[in-house]
Amino acid sequence: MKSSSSEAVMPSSLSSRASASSSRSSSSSSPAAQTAHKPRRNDMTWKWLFRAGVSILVLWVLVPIALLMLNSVSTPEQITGWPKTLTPALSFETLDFFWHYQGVISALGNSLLAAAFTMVIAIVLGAPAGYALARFVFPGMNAYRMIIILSRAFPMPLLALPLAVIFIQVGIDDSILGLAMVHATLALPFAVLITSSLFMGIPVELEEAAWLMGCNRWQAFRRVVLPLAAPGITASAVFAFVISWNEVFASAILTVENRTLTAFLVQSLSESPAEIKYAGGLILVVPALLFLFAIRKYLFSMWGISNR
Amino acid sequence: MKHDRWLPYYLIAPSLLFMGAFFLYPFIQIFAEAFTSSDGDVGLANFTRIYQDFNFWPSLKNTLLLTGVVVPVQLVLAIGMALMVTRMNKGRNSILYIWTIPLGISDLAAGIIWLAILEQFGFLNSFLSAVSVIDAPASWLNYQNAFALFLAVVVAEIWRGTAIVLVILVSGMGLIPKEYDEAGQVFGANYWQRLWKITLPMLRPSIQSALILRTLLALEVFAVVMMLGGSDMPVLMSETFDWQFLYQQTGAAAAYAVLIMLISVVITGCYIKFLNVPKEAR
Amino acid sequence: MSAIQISAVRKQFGKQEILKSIDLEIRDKEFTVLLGPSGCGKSTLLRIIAGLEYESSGSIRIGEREITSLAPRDRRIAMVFQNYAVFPHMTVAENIAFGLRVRKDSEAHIQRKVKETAALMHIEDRLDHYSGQLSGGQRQRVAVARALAMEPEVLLMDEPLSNLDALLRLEMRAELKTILAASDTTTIYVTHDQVEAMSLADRIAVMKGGQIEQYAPPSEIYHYPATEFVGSFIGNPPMNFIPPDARWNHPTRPEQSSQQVHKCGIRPEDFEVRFEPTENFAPVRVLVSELLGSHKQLTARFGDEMIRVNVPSDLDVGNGSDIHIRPLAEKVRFYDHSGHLMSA
Repeated sequence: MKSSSSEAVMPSSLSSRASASSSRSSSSSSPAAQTAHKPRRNDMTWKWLFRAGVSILVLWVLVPIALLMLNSVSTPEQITGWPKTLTPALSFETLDFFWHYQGVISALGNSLLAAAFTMVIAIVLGAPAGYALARFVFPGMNAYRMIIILSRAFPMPLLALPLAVIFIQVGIDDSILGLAMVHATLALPFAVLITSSLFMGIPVELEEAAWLMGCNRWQAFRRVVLPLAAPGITASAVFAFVISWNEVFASAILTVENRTLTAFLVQSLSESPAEIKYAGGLILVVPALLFLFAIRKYLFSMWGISNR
Repeated sequence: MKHDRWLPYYLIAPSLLFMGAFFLYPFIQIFAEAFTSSDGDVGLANFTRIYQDFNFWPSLKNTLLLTGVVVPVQLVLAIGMALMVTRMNKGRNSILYIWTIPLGISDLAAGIIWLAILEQFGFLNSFLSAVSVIDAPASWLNYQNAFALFLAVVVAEIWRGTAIVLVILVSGMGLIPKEYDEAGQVFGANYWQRLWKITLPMLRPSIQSALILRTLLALEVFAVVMMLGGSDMPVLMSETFDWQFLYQQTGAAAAYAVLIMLISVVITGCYIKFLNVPKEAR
Repeated sequence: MSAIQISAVRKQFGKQEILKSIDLEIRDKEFTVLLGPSGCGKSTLLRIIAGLEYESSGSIRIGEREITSLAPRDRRIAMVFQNYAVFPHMTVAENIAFGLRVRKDSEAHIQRKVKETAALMHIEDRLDHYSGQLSGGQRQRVAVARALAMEPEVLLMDEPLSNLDALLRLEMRAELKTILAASDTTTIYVTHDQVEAMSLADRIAVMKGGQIEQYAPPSEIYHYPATEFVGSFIGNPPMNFIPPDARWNHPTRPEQSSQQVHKCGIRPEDFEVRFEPTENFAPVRVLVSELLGSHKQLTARFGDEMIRVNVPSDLDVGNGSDIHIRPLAEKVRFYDHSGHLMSA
């Protein structure tokens, strides 16, 4: 999936046209001079079209986000004002207002806490399972794998509905831990599949060598596998964190007093002033973007693995 | 190395138990709730109730219409983007990261982003007025202009959701050996022929995966619609939310949930049936 | 004392019998090579000895200790893997020291052993490098140094040279031979390369289909192959197998045997060649004559078989030449219907 495939598609199609033109040019002089130019111009137009297309799509993704950021560094008047300009006042008034708005700080804290719990639960439960799938062959492993994959296919957030009732009965309703467990259910399949793929990429010979040099299974795992898997495990932990941070439906259903940021924004939709929305949006977006940027090396293979 | 034959089971047990408790059990509970009326009788009382609600048909229609418009557009767009990606060398990873940014953005944030653009005093209107296309701010999100509102949601959803299709397709493309395309070239096929007859058919399993996933997510659309349309554009998920949170009628909410799941299963079944590539042909 | 005794070791996987009751007695300090084509079970046997796979039945003893039920870490065995398995996140020095640290040896001892084995394998100047910075050959040296540093009772090597290019393989083979001879450790070495086996081994166990066909010193394997398979596997080109020929006064039934001779085995270099028809010489037409540098290799049809005859490189024989051949009587080996060597 590396540049080898891209090299193959582009240069070869170009070269096929190039060789066609050179074979024509070798036959006669003046028609050749004309035909030799035509393919080149065509190539150039395609190239520029291609570049234009890519640029448009890049802007299409980035501009809306930039606009949100614009709003969050504008003054409240600018936010509700008309028309909007591309030159905001660069004031922190909006963010300041947001920061001091009632319930925001605790909502932020709750989101962070929930995401952190989710991360821990997903990894602690998922990594051992990933290791089991990677290293062992045992009856039921295919069924287990199927369950994990199929769980992606169901509208997970809906599970918050009955859990709301159950949580009340158990006494963890409106708690961050309860929410984290729902989020972890969302993140767990990813964690299992990603860590499984991670461990499969570490040759078992390394563990075997460690076993022969005096390690038992756990020691070999700790000394040899874990250091090599650490970046990948961290990446999937961050992944789980972001999943929880971004989640809306379950958060809105399950938290009332201890609202997360997403729940806060949803539940205060009609009442809160516009600045809250935009500053809140910014706070939602920026950490996620930063985290995902930090693990971007793993991002692609993780999405690929977990969605296949 | 000899290992306790129960070791793998010890390792998967925690996750299995967890999934059992937090996935399987609520899953069964939803069905139980949906088919139990508030008096405790088993029956379709909840379903009748939501059916008779004035928001039922609108929400169903909106959700299906939205899905029906957004998913095909995203598929075509994502295929185009995936093809572009395979032709890139240098900037490939950066472009790929940028194009997949929407994946990391909460759908709530995406709703907020497009709200900033599309609201009455938003950026789109500012831009249009700056280039003198309109005089006064137009209401894209007004409930009186249902079509514009729908369009707005479509645009926001396309922005938000193409990335996931893209990712699956790019992964799938990476699995197609380049020799197939090269063979096509040797046999004289031009670009479009190769695309249509070689690349896309080989991409079918990925397309199937992507369609299933994206469609399911589209049926669950919630936060984007809430931000842009509020109660003006009900969808299945927002109705579920309202019944649960606002009206405190868990039975009805569960009925909606079952409905969503049912539609998901049916559509997934259709995808599998019509897009299935027999194992031998892979 | 680390003599190894392998008794009736069998391995079954599903319906397949990967190892069929292996019995092997390896002497203390001996260098044994397990040789055979892929799929013969040699690597499986090695891994069973290491404890990485388990046998279906049978037992293994090292010296006085029964190790069959022991975990790999308790067997006092070191192993060099085919792909080296050098830990990528540790330096060369840390790799070599790994087993000693796990054992909690004294720091002084560890330092000494690391320097010693690194010097032995000529990688003392790479001690602080990571495996990613090393070439394949260097990584292999690290793997060997790591194993030797453990001072094991038994050293196992699983095709350690097969991933090296031809020239490097030649160099490393010579180096390994010297180092391992000096280290005096009982060694079991797995390979499919018969040249490697012949060069390194004290004794070779030739394996096929999960069984040991012959376990003997290289010269005996070469000159007295116990089965047709061994004869055809060792030696390049392989031993010729032809039906007994009356012209050569081949007995149809050797003296001590009650069986009929099925095939005669004659090595390509064990023929006398004349150009004129001679009594007791069989005429053949040379189909292909290849000058291979040190000798000429002739391919000819003999009855239903194709045989190969090696002659001096200056002999004037080309494609299509007619020659007359006779094998050296003392070099002919007789095989019965089951492919086993008959005593002549």
